[in-house]
Amino acid sequence: MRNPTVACNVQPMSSVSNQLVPMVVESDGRFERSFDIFSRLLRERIVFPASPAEVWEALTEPERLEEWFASEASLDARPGGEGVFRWGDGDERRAVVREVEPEERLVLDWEDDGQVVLELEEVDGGTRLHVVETSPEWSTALELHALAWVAVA
Amino acid sequence: MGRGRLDGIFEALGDPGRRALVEAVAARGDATATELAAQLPVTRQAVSKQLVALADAGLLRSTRSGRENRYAVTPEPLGDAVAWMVEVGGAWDDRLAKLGRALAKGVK
Repeated sequence: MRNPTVACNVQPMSSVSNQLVPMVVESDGRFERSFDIFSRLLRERIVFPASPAEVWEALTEPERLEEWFASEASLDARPGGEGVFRWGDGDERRAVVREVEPEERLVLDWEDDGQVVLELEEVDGGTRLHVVETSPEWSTALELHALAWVAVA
Repeated sequence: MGRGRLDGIFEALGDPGRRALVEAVAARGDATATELAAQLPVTRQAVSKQLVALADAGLLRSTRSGRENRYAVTPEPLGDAVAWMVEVGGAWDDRLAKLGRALAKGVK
């Protein structure tokens, strides 16, 4: 296991932080994703050629949620409202709406599994959707400083 | 993959100094506290203490080497964490592709 030749290639501490792939960034301009296992989060940004109002509707209207999020959806998009999502494989997830700012921000607390934050931002040619999904322990281990972003073109 | 185990891993890696140590060990293949202290701006005692914490979390494994322990990275725990991310990421890939198609169809 010992490999003395590797020791010659030790990098300065500051540039080594991605070496173990704790954080991965994929980007193609319209879409960008970063994983950060230190912060236990998945973050995605994607631009859709649609208005914030259209995207908001797709995020909050049950019949539109059934087009992309779950095969059966109900959501009461008010603070404290309940969401129930079912999938074809029998999976069911329940959530409580924590924050709602129409056409801007929707935060759902999963009953079983962390939190999802959806944010809309109007950009040239459409709307950028920001998604942050975190594992349940997220709230006690917020470490945004561990995130390094690659700029979106 | 157990949540409890992942918690321990994340906790161990929550400290920037410990992260740097794991990275330094990974870069060398394996290392002793003395070797790492020579490379990093910390004392051998501090390095040694952190190495023990990382080994307790299952991120490093140690083998006795002369008067010192020699540490190497255990790949599996990080694999667990990455697997969690890949699973959640895959779910979002699918959802966002469908959302794109739903939006392209326009408002009903």
